[in-house]
Amino acid sequence: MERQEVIRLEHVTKRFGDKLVLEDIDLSVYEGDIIGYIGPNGAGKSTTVKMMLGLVDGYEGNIFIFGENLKNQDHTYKRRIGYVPENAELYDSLTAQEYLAFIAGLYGLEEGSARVKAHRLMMKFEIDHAMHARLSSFSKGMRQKVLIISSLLHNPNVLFLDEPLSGLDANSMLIVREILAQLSAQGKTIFYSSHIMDIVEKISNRIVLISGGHIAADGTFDELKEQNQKGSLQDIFNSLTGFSQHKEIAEDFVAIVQEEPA
Amino acid sequence: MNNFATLRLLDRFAPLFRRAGIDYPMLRLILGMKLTMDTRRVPTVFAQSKVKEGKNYFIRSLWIYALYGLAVIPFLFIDDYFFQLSIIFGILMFILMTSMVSDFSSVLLDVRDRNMMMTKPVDQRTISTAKMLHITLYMSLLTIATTGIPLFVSLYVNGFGFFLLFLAELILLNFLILMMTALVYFAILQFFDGEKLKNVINFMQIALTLGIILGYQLVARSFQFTSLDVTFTPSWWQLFTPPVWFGALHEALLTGERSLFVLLLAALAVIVPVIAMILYVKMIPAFESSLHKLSTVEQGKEKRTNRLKQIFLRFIAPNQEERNFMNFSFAMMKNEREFKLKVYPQVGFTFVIPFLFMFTTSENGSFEALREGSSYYLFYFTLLVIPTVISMVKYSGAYKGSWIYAAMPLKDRMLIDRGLTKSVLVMFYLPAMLILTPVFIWIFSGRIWLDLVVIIATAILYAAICTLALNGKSLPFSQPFSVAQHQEGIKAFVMMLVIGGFCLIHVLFNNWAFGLEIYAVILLIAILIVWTLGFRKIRFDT
Ligand SMILES: Nc1ncnc2c1ncn2[C@@H]1O[C@H](COP(=O)(O)OP(=O)(O)O)[C@@H](O)[C@H]1O
Ligand SMILES: [Mg+2]
Repeated sequence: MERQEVIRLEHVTKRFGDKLVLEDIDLSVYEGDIIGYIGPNGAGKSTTVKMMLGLVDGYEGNIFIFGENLKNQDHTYKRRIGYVPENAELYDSLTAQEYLAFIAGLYGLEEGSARVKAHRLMMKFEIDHAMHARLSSFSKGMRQKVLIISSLLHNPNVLFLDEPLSGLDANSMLIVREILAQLSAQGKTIFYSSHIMDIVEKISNRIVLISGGHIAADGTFDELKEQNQKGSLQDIFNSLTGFSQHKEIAEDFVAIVQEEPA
Repeated sequence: MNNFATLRLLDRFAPLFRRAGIDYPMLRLILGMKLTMDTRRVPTVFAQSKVKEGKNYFIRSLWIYALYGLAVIPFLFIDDYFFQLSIIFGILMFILMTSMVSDFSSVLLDVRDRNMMMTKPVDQRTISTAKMLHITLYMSLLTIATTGIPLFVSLYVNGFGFFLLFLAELILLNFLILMMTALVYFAILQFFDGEKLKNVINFMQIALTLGIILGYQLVARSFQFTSLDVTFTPSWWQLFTPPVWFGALHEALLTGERSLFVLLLAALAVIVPVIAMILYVKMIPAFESSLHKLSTVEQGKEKRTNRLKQIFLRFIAPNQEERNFMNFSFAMMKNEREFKLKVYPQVGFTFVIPFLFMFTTSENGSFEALREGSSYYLFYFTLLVIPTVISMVKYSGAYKGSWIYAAMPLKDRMLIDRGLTKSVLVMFYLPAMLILTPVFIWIFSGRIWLDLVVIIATAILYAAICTLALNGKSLPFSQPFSVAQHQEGIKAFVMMLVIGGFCLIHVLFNNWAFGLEIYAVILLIAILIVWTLGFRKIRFDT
């Protein structure tokens, strides 16, 4: 069976002012893919995701989602998309319950059933006790969980997760990892970025590494291992981003920290 | 979250919105969320995070507008529709437009909502309409608070027809103000980019505020006063002063005035708001999508440290920790978009109001008479900028960064407040002083030097008092902005009355021989006390 193409980037170039962030990116994503989108800080991962959601405009090239060019789409394609932003930014002064009800409403879900669903999901993440507390009192991990729930309430086909694991404890990370695996087995497409290499290594069926505005590697973990003759994704990441002297840098860093002021 | 009286009222218009192609349930949802958030104060780093289901602070601050509105009442008793309404609308437009420009610009130019809701399947038009309605709601409350009493008075004094027309005109005026402001920003967003865009917006705010003041002058000049009669003198520029349009509309409808020019003005009162609204609705999508320009941050260039500035700062703040807070405050005030949006219109006032008054008073006499007179007391108007700025410095878009206060090994809390107050004086008062002092000396000659010294000393004392009275224990840049902080405007307003008190004392001392010298010494001592013991008091209270 031919898998449907869900996302296609064609010659996408993005600048902020005169700073080139992405240059001539081509990328196709198919139904059921779990794509681990990795790259150094500031490589343009979040920017890529934001472009696909229409948050960042002003790019060259074309982005197709569900086969339609974004430039010709209205808002309706977003009904089938879930998004977890990177900075855990949400409306702080609302309670978790109010926030989730609001998001569910934006996705056009029926209020009563959405409320029950949100509550049940919160129970699974063991944060239901904080249902009626303001989000501003939530810890980073708790906020992250609320965001993950809010991105899944409407059972989307495609998930964009920008560092979804940040702030989660080891157990919760295991749960989320398993959720992603199972969602993808159901045919959902997942496009996520993360810096936790051993998780990316284990759950992605495809890894895209972006560096210096270009795609530096694209393939399954096994393919990348073969091409680069390295044993772990961490090593591949280091070698592809041209990085080998972490020891020296750390030594210098500590030396500077310990310098006596002149 | 969705049971506000406002929303239930809005429900009655649901079919209207549907017909305009707006997703009404979605609109209601978004507005409900906004109204809920308006009733909440986000706890600061130090406060407990109890969910305090508060009242809407904005609504609680409306009484002051009722006070402003009283200013309109005397004009209701004048027996000339044209004149009275032109003046009334001049005043109302002034009050409402300044509030729109300084309080709601940040809502209009908000990019946070965009980031939150653009990722959801919501129509752009619906988001924008929700935003517009949110502002409209507050503007309407403002208008009702301001004009409620005058409207009732007019019902008794001027009759039912007058009352109805007045009401209708108020609605038109609101539309006009809202759409005009939005369209001005829209135009700016189209033509500018990056850092320049942000500067132009602030510049435009100052220009708008000045425009309102000037417009008000023009309105007064449209009429000639002869012993008992007021006559209207037509002039081309009346085509650009909306208050006169409304006066003309009243005149045309209630007295049956048939002069072509007056009819034209009357027509403008109706046509312009409607056209502005149609234009705005057509432009909403383009407006929103150009808002993204505001979130683009330019690559910072390294700023060279100015040696002169360093020396100056070292002089006024010898303590290094205090100087550090000054530099921090400078950086925050320079970069905080919302802060600038709210403060800059007032900065415009500071520079212009003294001259405006001089101009008006010198109308009746010669320049010579002005020079001999005591109009230099108008220099006190420069103090106005101080409470405005100080009442805003506790807010920040990045209020969450305020954890640093708690985490840092701070020696002395006093240094924060003092550094902040000094930085406000340097950034907002010093320029006004440097520019206006020579001008004043030129106009009034050297004889007023001691008066100016006294006024500047007063400014220094007053700034400290403002910090103590307006900010108390709250740390700078530690609370989020919201519409609710409107109440600050009122406290700042009360502090402005204090300026009048200072001016009065000054006048009194000026009546005695050596009075001014004595007053200057008293002020100096007061400065020393307040800047040390006064600030120390905050620390002990915390
Ligand atoms: N709104 C913005 N304005 C200017 N530059 C930006 C903006 N957003 C991101 N950038 C720049 O684009 C680059 C990529 O950022 P981002 O996509 O957030 O990286 P990451 O891969 O870490 O998610 C960074 O260098 C960042 O400085
Ligand atoms: Mg990122």
